[in-house]
Order: sequence, then structure tokens, then C-alpha cells
Amino acid sequence: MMMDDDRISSEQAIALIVNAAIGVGILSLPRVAVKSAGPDCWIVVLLGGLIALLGALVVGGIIKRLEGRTFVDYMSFVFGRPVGLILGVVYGIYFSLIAAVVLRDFAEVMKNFALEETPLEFFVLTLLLLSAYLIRHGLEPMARLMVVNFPFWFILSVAMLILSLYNADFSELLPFLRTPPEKLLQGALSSMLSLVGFEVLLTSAQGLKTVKDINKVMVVSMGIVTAYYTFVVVTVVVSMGIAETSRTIWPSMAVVRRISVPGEILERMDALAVALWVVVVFTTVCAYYFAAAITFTNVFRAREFKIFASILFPWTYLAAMLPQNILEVEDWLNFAGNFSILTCFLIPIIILVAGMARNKWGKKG
Amino acid sequence: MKLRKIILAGLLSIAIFVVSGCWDMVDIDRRFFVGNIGIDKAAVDDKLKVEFTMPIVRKISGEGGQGGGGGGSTIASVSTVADSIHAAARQMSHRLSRRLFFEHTRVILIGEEAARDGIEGVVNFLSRNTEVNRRGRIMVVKGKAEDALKVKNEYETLLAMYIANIFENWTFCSKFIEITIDDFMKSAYSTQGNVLLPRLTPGKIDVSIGGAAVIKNYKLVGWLDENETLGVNFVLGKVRGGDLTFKQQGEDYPVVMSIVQISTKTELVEAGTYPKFKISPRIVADIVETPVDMKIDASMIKSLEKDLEEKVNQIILKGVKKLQKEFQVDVLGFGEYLYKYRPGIWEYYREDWENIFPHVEVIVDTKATIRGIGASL
Repeated sequence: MMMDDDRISSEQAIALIVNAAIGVGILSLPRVAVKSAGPDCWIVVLLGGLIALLGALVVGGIIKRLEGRTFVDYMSFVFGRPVGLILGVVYGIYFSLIAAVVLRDFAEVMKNFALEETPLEFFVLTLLLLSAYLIRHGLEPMARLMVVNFPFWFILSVAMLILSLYNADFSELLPFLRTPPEKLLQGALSSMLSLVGFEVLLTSAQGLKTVKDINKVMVVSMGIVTAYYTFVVVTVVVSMGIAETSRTIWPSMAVVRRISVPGEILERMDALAVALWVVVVFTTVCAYYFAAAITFTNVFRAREFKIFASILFPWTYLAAMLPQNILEVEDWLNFAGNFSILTCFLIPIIILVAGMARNKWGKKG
Repeated sequence: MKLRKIILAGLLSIAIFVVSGCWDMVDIDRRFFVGNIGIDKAAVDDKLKVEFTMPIVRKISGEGGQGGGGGGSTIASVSTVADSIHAAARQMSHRLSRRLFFEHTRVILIGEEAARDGIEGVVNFLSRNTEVNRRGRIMVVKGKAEDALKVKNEYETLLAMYIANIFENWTFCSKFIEITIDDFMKSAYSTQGNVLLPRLTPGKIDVSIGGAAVIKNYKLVGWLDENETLGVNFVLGKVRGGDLTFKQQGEDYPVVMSIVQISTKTELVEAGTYPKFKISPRIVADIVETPVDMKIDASMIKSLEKDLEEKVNQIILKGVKKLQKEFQVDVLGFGEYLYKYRPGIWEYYREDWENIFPHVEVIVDTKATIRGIGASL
């Protein structure tokens, strides 16, 4: 099990969720939202945020019921040992898969916008090494880093996007609400996939100092994530237009590239954007990598957590290098997204309901 | 302890590979900074003749005792025949000692014939490429792009700076299309290739940017002259300044007004078989020149305002008529206006918009105010 003093406060939990949720979506979410809902893209993101919040509250409900047990143990308690272990492995695979796909998307962006000749393997390997180094120290140091990191990239990226508003055309968001409701819903579901991240807390919950404020933690962190993403989508769309956003792989990067403050004091801020991108992705990868390692630790009831960080290392790397090109990476991202419907919504709901039933039934018996 | 030291030494030597430098480093003296890209139709079938110009830094800085550009031109230009722009850049590597670098490209010139064949290639190149500066300018050359790139004058050391900086005079004339590569890409995507691009006419020692190239479905279909472009700019609300000249009855010398401030409102008045639009520019202007004997008083200002309004109405209608009748291409944003502000009505027209647009009725209602009259009564 984990070290006893390796516990995080509620504020650190918020930072953990926000850092896990805000990642590759920054660059691709505007395209996803615009593709499904056109000018109503921002509504789609807000709706997605609402759905994600519901999922987050379910997860919060489970965390409250853990009562010191690990998530895997709780699943075993609810469904019986074999099913609990299988679900544990499913979660472990899910977390490592997300870490791998995020890493790969990160590498693709780096290659396209900054270092063209550098091999993809190099980006993936270095960032993965760094993450492995960080998570081996446990939950609390990682959460502390995220708290320190958060204002740094948050303020800078918001400021950068505000600069891009110099030739914004807000009429790009018109006509208002002409998208058919089923398309809105579909868009909300696909944007929600960029907003999830709260599920990392499921397996890290054993490290929470207190679960009293868990609902508050969920609401605040999902609020920050949704507000941030809505802001990103709106700024990108108003400065780039609907049509071009839907055809650009990384619209936010394209927007940053065209920043030109009158007087040419600040121009072409790609370098800064790429630097922020590294930080943002790094925190996401860490959160998921850690979640994967701790899940496997709990599945095997291992004493030593560090060993799983090392065991997962080559597999994550291989999974990240599996796709042949960016289109396959997109397929993988979609697959991972659909996977997260299962892990963030369906399974938690079933667990929560079954857990409640079990408690009731248990009391009667 | 000894083992530890060995491991440490090993790790440190591995670090050499990681921290010693950058994979992608190309030193500044190994690059050519392309300033202009010129695209022409080649004499050979279906190929492009692509021309790159780049400054020779050595000549500009006057190194080696040559003295500020003393020995020949400061600009090198190379051209090749290829299937595409990227292929052309790659072919250059057979002939150039350095790598072509597009981050500082200021101007992309498309020759008339190449533009008539279609500019999808350019759009696609620009959207996939992450190197070209999106704040650069793109325009169509009346004639051949290479002729524009041959222009030599003393005004500026670099041709690209010379051409790009002409755009900054836009606030004085408004008679060309002010557009960056970025704006161009945005509108090309949202209208499926119906855009106006600035027109550049090459001369012997200088170039003139004025008027517009009308692009329909990514193909050049014709030109608008300076005044028609001004009219279109009025409709688009893109006029920032510029002069309007007209003659008063019985006077030899014209009255010249300079636009100070303008805002344009477009609205849909009627949606019958064909929609009817009302364009209402609000103009504030200064009097710059008048005939010597003209006395300016309140009633004269009233009458001059009337004349100015009349003049602007004419200019706008002329530009709009030409686009409607001659080119039948909606670059005025009428379709976009309907889509954004009247989506219900747009549903009704959208299918057949290309055929409806030429019949759209346009009324212009200019309101002009004269503010400054200069230092003379």
C-alpha cells in the first residue's frame, strides 16, 4: 500500500482534476465542437460540462463510500472478488491508454509546430521518463507540483488567447441555436470526452485527507474546466471562423500563430504556446500514469507502488508509438474517449447503485 | 562506492545526447529567408513556375568592403518549374547552398494566368504548411508574377518589404482589398473560394496595388477597378479613409473630400422572390480642396453633403452592379448576412443562392456629415 503520510488536501485534489482534464483538448476541442454544432459550439461545451459534472458527482458519491478502502477493494466488496479484479484491470488499462494517446498527440504537435526533424520517439520517451520520475515520489509531491503549475499555464494561456481577439468577429457565433437538438447532444457527448479527468480521483481517493468536501471539489474543478474550455472554444472560433476551425487539426495553435499585437511588439507566439503545451500535457500524462500505476498496485495488492510505475513504462511507450499517423492517433483518441464513457459514467453509476443496494440489503440481512 | 561512480559517469555521458543541442538546428547563415513567392503558369503543360526571392544579407549589411549593396542587387531570385509550390521549394535544394525558410515570407504573388487556372493549390499549401507567416499578404498580379518580382527601385532595400508596406497606406485610399493570408484562408474556407484579392500591377521600377481580383470557386474570373473596389469596400464596411472627388456645377476645379470616419449597416428590407437589401453608410468627411472662389457657409455645407451622399451612392451601386451582373459572385457577404442574422429566410434562398444573387435588389442610403473644412473659409 501507499505511504501513510502521502495524502492530499481538497485544494490539491482540485488541482489534480483540473490538470488531468485540461490537456490535449485545448488544441482539438474547438474543432470537435464546431464539427458537430457549428456556431452553437459553446453551448455544446457547456452541455458537455454539465454531463461531465453529473459523472463527477457519481464518482464523488463512490469516493464517499470507500471509507478507507481502495477503489479496487470496494469493487470487490460490491461485485465479488473476481469481477472487482477484472474491473480493476480494465481501469488500469484505461488509464495507461489515455496516458499513451495523450503522449502521442503531444509528440505530433511538437513535431508539426516546433521540431520538425526530431523523431516522435524522442518526445514520447523524454516526457514519459520525466513523468515516471515524478510519480515515483507518490501522490502528494505530484499534486503539489500541479498546484504550483496551475496558475502558470492557466494565466499565460488565457492571456495569450485574449491577445488573439484583436480581429475577432463575434458574428461567427450566429445564427444562435439553429442546430438540431440531437446534434447538440451528440456534440455535447463528444466534447465531454475532453472534459473528463475526474476519474483519476477514483483510484487516488485513498490518498485524500478528507472526503467531506468531495462534492465541492468536483463542482469547483468541473466549473474551472468547463469555463476554461468554453473560453478556448469561443476565442478560437471568433478569431478563425467556423469553416476554417472545422478543417484545422489543431485550431488553437493556428490561432496563436497569427497573433499580432499592433506595432508588432508581440508576434507569432508559437514558441511560448509550445512551451505551455509541454507543461499542460505533462500534468495530464502524470495524472493518468499515476492513476494507472496505483490501480495495478491495488489489483495485485502489492506493497511497493514504485515497481508498477516502472513496469508500465515500456507498455505505455509502445502503445503511444502504435498509431501510424495523425489520423490513426485521432482514431485512438476517439476510442479512448468512448472508453471513458464506460469508465467515467457507466461503471461508476452501476457501482454506486449496486453499492447502495448492497448496503441496504446488508443492513437488513 | 566505486560502482556508483561508474554508473554516475555513464549517466552523465548519456546526457550528452540529450542536452547538447537541438535536433533541428539550422544556423541562421545556413538559411535563405524567402521574402516573396511568385506563382506563374509555366509554358509546360499543367505546371507552375514558382519564383522565390530572398535578401542577400551580406550585401545589405555591406560586409566585405562592398559598401551598402554596392555590388549588384541585394535580392537574389530563383525560379523553377514544378508541379506544386512545395515541390518547387524542394527542387531548389538541387541548386541552392542553403535551406529555404518561409517564416519571414511577406508576400505571395499569383500570376494572372495561374489564378485563372485555379488557386486551390495555394490554399492547400498554406493550410497544411505551418511555416509560412500568416500575417503576410497575398495578391493577384495583373500579368506575370515574375514581372512584379523584377521590379527594382531605390525606395526600399527589400522588395518584399516594399510591397508589404504599401498595404499600410490602406487608411489613405481604401481602393484595394486589405487582406492578410490569414483573412484570405478564413474567407476562402467559409465561402468555398469566393473571395476578393488585391490586384497588383507591375511597372518598370515600381508596382501599384489597387483594385481587386474577383475569385469565384477558387478561379480568377475578372477584375474590379479602383473605384469599384472602393464601392465594394463601402458595402463590406472596410473603408477606413480615402478621398472622394467630384465637380460642382459650373466649376472647373473639383471639390475633394477626405473620409474621416465611417460605419456601414446592411439590413434586409424585403424577402420576396429576390431579397432586397438596404446599405446605409454613415460618413464623416473633411473638405480638403475646393475651387478658390467657393465660399463655405452652412447652406453650402448642406449642399456639399448632398453631393457627397450622391457620389457615394453611385460608387457603391457601380461596384455592386458589376459583381452581380458581370461575375455573379457574392463576395459582398449578403449570403453570410442572411445565414447569420436571418437563418429562417436563408433556408429559403440557400439552395439557389448563386442564381438569386445577381437579382438581389440593393438600395443605398448614405448619410454624410462634413466636419472639418481646413484652415480656410
